[in-house]
Amino acid sequence: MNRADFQTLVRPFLKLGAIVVASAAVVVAVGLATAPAIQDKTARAEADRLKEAAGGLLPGSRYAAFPLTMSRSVFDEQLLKPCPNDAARRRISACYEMLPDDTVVLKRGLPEGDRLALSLLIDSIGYRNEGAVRAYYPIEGSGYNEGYLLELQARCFGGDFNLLARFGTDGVLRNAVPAADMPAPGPWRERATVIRLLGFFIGAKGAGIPVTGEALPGKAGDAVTGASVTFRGLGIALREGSRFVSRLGGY
Amino acid sequence: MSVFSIIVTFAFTGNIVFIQFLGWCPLVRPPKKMPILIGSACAIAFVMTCSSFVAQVVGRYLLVGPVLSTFRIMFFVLLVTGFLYATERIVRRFWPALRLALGASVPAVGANCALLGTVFLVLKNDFTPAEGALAGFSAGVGFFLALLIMSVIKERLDRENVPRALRGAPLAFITAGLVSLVFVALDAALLSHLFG
Amino acid sequence: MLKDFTKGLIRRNPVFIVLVGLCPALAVTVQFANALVLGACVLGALLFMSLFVSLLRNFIPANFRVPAVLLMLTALATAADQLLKALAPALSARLGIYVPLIAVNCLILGRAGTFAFAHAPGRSVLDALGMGTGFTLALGLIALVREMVGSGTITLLPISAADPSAGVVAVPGLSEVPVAVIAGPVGAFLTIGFLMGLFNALRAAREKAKAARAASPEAGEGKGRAEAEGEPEA
Repeated sequence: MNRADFQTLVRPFLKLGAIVVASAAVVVAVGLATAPAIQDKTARAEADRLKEAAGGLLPGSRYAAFPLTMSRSVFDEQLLKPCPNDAARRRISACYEMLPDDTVVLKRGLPEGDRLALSLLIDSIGYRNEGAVRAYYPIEGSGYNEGYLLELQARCFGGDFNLLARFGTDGVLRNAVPAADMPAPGPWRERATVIRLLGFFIGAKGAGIPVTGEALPGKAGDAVTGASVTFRGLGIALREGSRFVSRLGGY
Repeated sequence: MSVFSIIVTFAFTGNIVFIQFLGWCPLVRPPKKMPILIGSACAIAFVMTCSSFVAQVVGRYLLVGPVLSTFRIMFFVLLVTGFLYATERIVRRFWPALRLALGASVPAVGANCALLGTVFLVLKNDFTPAEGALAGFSAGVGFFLALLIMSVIKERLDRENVPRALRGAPLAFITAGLVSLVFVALDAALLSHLFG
Repeated sequence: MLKDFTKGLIRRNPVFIVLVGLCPALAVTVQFANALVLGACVLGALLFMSLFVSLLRNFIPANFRVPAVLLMLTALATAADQLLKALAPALSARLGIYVPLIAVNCLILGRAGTFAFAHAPGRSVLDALGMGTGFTLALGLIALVREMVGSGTITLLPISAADPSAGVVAVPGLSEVPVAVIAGPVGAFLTIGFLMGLFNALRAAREKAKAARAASPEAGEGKGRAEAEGEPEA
């Protein structure tokens, strides 16, 4: 092709290509420069939140909650049916016990390796946990099981957000804090408001956890008006957490 | 999230126009004629669905990790612009009367705010790609609702006696504020509280 | 020359008069400090964009303007987002998707795409400074109103993870009766609508004063000057 063609056809593309390369280079440079700092900060922030929720005690490793309870039909369909042979089927069945309300629960005292293997298996079938409890951390206090730290998802006004709640083995709520920064700005989801509301639940357990302002003693119920939907969402999530702990700790 | 929950969240309780505040540049002067309005909304919904799908695939499986994820913004902008451009060419070929220029000042690019924002919002959740496409489509439905409401109300209000200073864009926003009250009320937790 | 700077402040304020960049103006104006931070980010991006586009205005091919501008702006938006995440993660989480959305900000695309291509770097930078400052002031104004009426406070320092309540000043009198609805989406729309109306009224009053001056007996020079100072494009 002659020179004129080169000028009019190819050159603009080359120039655009140069701009693309330059922009990409800027992005890469910034990415490489900031990535370590960002990772460090996120890890530190998570550790801080856990420490705050655990109240000075050390949380153990994190277990995703979904291997613990599952409905009977999902269990049969997703875990038992695809088993290649009888031995595998027996192995899986041995990890679970059946509850009267048609849910299967992970057996207590399961060896660590079996528990992790099951978690991976359930990850691979993509079982989505629709309940409030997303994960739990056992908490050790000088050699014995002090309680559990739960990651709960609460449905409140304006959206869902995560809580970190610490329960004793007896299912009593010891401490609860919001897990992360609120998903979107809004007056009903300010961190300070949520912390204030969470204070009302501490010390209760199971069905004793209130979901309405009227259930609170004395004039405390007045402080809840205007945030009743959020209060209810938090209460329901914490109730489910307490029930979950009962299945873990057996009280 | 279940399918129903996704649709309700992206079309109503998290409506991208009235709650997430996206896509206002073209919406201050909405199209007047209904066929053009519907056509634009369909095109935008189509772009949202496609780009959400691809973005969910790429954003969750390909561009992960601290360094690669810095390329997300660039990739999504190119993705959204690419789909918009392709859709505009298709529309121009088959329906020349409809022009995707929803805004007078910066044509088509003005809608990018809504499109890119939708992609980011969808990516925030851990959806499968199919669920991502559904979320994008619901967002498109929400955008269509917003377009319809703003256009109809503006048409009526243009005939009213409005103080000179408030005519046009200010009135559009004040109206939007009152409409958004409805969308704020359509909250998932609130609805489950009232109706179980 | 100075006109390039001042026109962005009031006469052609991006948010209230030209109606661009409205999405962040509605979304991040819940708190005063956060609004100013985003305004500063947009100002920075606009400044760099105008400078580079103006310096490269003979290099960028004519029919590749929009892609080139878009690519450069995307790189800047990514840089801003990453820097914010590294330096102030709590603030980044608060501002959410609106920092990456600078990549398709109508204001920057409009300014860099039209003005910077046609003018020298000096004028482009002044224009960018003016428009960016006008944008930040507009955001600050909206946020001030929304926060004072909606929560009864003024947040002077951007939110930080260490102490979320630092720098929050409670306005006496208003903080006892916050109107929570105003801090939500409703307040965003109402505030911006009424402020726009206010700016329109101010502009109309100014036009009337100018017309009155032109019609007065000293019309001879006045009219000539009024025509000469006719606004440059866009």
